[in-house]
Amino acid sequence: MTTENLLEIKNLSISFKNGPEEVPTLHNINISLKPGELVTIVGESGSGKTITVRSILGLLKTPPTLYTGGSILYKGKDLLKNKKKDWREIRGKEISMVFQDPMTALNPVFTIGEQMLNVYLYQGKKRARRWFGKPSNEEKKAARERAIELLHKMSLPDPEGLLERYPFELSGGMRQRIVIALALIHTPKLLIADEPGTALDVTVQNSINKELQRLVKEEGISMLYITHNLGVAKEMGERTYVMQYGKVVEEGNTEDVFLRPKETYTKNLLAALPKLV
Amino acid sequence: MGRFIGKRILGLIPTILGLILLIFLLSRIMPGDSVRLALGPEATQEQIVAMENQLGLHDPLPVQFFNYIKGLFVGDMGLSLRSGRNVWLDIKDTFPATFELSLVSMIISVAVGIPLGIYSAVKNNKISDHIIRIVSLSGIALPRFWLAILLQLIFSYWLGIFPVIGRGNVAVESITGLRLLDSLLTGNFAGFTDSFIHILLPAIALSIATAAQIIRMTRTNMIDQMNKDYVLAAESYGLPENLVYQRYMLKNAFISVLTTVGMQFGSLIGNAFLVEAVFGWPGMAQYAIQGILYKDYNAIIGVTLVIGLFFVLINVIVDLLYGFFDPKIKLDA
Amino acid sequence: MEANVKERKAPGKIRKLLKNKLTLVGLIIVALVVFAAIFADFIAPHPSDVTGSIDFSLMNQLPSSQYIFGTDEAGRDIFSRVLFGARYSLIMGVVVLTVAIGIGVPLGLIAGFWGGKVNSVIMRLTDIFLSIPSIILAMAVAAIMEPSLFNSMVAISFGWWPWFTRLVQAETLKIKNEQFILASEGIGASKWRIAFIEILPNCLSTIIVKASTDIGFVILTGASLGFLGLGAQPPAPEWGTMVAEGRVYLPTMWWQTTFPGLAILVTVLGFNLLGDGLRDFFDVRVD
Repeated sequence: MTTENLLEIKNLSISFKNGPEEVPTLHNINISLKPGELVTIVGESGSGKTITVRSILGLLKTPPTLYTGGSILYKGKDLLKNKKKDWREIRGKEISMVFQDPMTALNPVFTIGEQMLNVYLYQGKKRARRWFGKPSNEEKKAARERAIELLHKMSLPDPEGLLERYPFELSGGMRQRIVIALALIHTPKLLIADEPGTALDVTVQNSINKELQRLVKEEGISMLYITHNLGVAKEMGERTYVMQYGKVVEEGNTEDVFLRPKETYTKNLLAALPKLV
Repeated sequence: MGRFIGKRILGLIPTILGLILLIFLLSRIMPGDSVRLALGPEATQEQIVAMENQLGLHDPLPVQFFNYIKGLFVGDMGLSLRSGRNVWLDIKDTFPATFELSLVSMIISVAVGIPLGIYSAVKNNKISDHIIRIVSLSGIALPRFWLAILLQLIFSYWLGIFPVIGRGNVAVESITGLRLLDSLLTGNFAGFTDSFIHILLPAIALSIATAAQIIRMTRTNMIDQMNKDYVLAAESYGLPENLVYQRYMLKNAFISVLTTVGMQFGSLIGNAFLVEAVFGWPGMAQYAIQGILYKDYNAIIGVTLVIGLFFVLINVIVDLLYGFFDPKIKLDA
Repeated sequence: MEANVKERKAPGKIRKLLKNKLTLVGLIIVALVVFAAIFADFIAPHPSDVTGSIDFSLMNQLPSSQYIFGTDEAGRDIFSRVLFGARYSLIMGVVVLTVAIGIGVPLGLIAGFWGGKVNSVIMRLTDIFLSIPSIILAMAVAAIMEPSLFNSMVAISFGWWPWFTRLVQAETLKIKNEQFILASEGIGASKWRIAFIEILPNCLSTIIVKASTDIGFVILTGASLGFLGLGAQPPAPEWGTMVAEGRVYLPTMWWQTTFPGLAILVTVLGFNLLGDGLRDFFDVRVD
């Protein structure tokens, strides 16, 4: 499959402004992703993986973040040059993100239905209109159907009932699946999963991961999967990047990285894994 | 939901009783020579003692308290030493004016405060934010009675745009006692405009400090929300800014803002007294201040009690509104 | 036994505090007011005017270079009187807050730490006092007593202590289950000791922030009482009283009522700025 890269992060460098000082945080990151691939980024806390993926969607606030070099190419276009108008085309529609803690990623005072419908109806719009030019009843019906369809796809029971629930009424696993459903509403080409399920039990996490793998295989979504858990990383992507201190220290096919690590850091990381049976 | 309301009100009864007891004790502990003042300098000692006995001032305290509470149930708040009438009647006459002024001021404060607070939060640390912050800090420090005097001086005396004192000159049929409402209900437009220009200056004087507090509270809470994950998530879904700020964030921030509004109502009513004094507004303030001068204790207790109860009522309403905004409370009830 | 105080301040923060321009302005204003109060005798251009020298030939003059704020109906220099007036406001602020803290904080500690029935009783009492707006309660109490500076301070303190009780009780509830408290209990330290030596120091920053923000509001309330005639009586140069006195001569002699009010505004603003700065410094929320 020698197709073009869907996503290419080239020599990305980022610093943070802390008062008068500028602290370099990311150093020359190079990560690429082809259509239909599942790529994993592995690293400990503070390795820079979350900053890297948040910059793909332009979610870092520009003070205090400073882009000191490099580019992020999506379908050949540099996202770092995006204006507000460009982001409206990308966010939620081309690229979506699944957040780590589903309890805080969902708005606590709105129902699941309201939140899902809002994403369907208002994604990419400049203003959410509630009086003139507000969404028609047909659109609202279509939104509801799409929401139910996705909740069903995420193997959630009683989708209609779920729409009326508030986040705090649901279990962690259900919330995580809903967060994924929210990201999928407009069928994005690229899904970024930032440590999904780390706040949950291992068994729940497992089923979430299987769900994500199924999405890549059956729906053809490309995925960037972030984790600090090596055991999980081994089972997920075809290719793996290992990050440490804001740098990519090792990359390659997952098998190669785990069985034949080249770098000392990777070797130490793997050695620290407790051997189970 | 009904159970929720019921439980809250039940829990208030001890507080209300305690309130009445407190105010009652305050008045009875220092009787002073109020009766003497009321009867005039020519009154003899026997006349004074007779009056005191008639008012029950020499009964043991628990008996006095019990009688007072008994009286409250039938709308008898004791006799005003000045007007000779039941204090309750006097209060009934003057309360609507104070209530109308407080209500209009609160509406202005909220209508001005919340949008400015949101705007200030959105433009966090930019120049407009700094300006709003400094202005609101000054607004809080403004003595309301002084502001009232200044506004009256500039706009009524010097510029002559607004009337100097009073509530209105055009007759308005009284239904609720709120002139603005009544004039609308009876289709009396002349009355409405007249009442409006009379209430505007006092209401503005009252509302500025409250608006300033609301601006600060809204701003702080909105900024808190900005750092939350659900805001980041909403951005990642490509949702428009006005949806994220005005619905998603505001609903979350509103709960704390609501608390502030409730508390500010109390300070609003207290300061209404001062503004009423400046603008000759015929509300409870005038009645209370005269009562203070003449040491008319029944009047003073009556007014304090009514305000205390009113404030308790406001807090109950705020609590109920919490349930409206916070689904956790709504569903727990 | 040493008190365990959780470290919240970093050395760089003191610099940050002073760098914040608004806080600095607040500090300067407060310093000026305190200075005026202490040294009024020396810096007031016409100090005898305050103690009651009356000269009708000078009355009701416009502000000029000799009488910066003009003169009042008794020919007294308003500027000097305003300077002396700072004393009344500052004394009020300090005394009321001291009393409020002295009563409110221990009650809050006891309520929070002992819990149970004690907590219910104290908090119920607090609720009752808080169910009346402070100004109204102060007015009611002051009305019943003879109007004077002292009585107005009593009146305001009456309504102020519950705020501290509520604040400290909430903080105590939070701290009470921390490890170091449980450790002290395990060693067998007495409850009083734990409450006052271990829990109290951790509440200090919240108390300080609230106290500094409150001084302004106490001064405002005190001036309001003065305006109503319930505070220091004329000829005392208390700012609220002066505004009321000057009001009679509106609209022509506007300076008599304007400048004392301006003094109130600036003083309260100064304390508020300072309080805000302290809140940022201690990184505390005093809702």
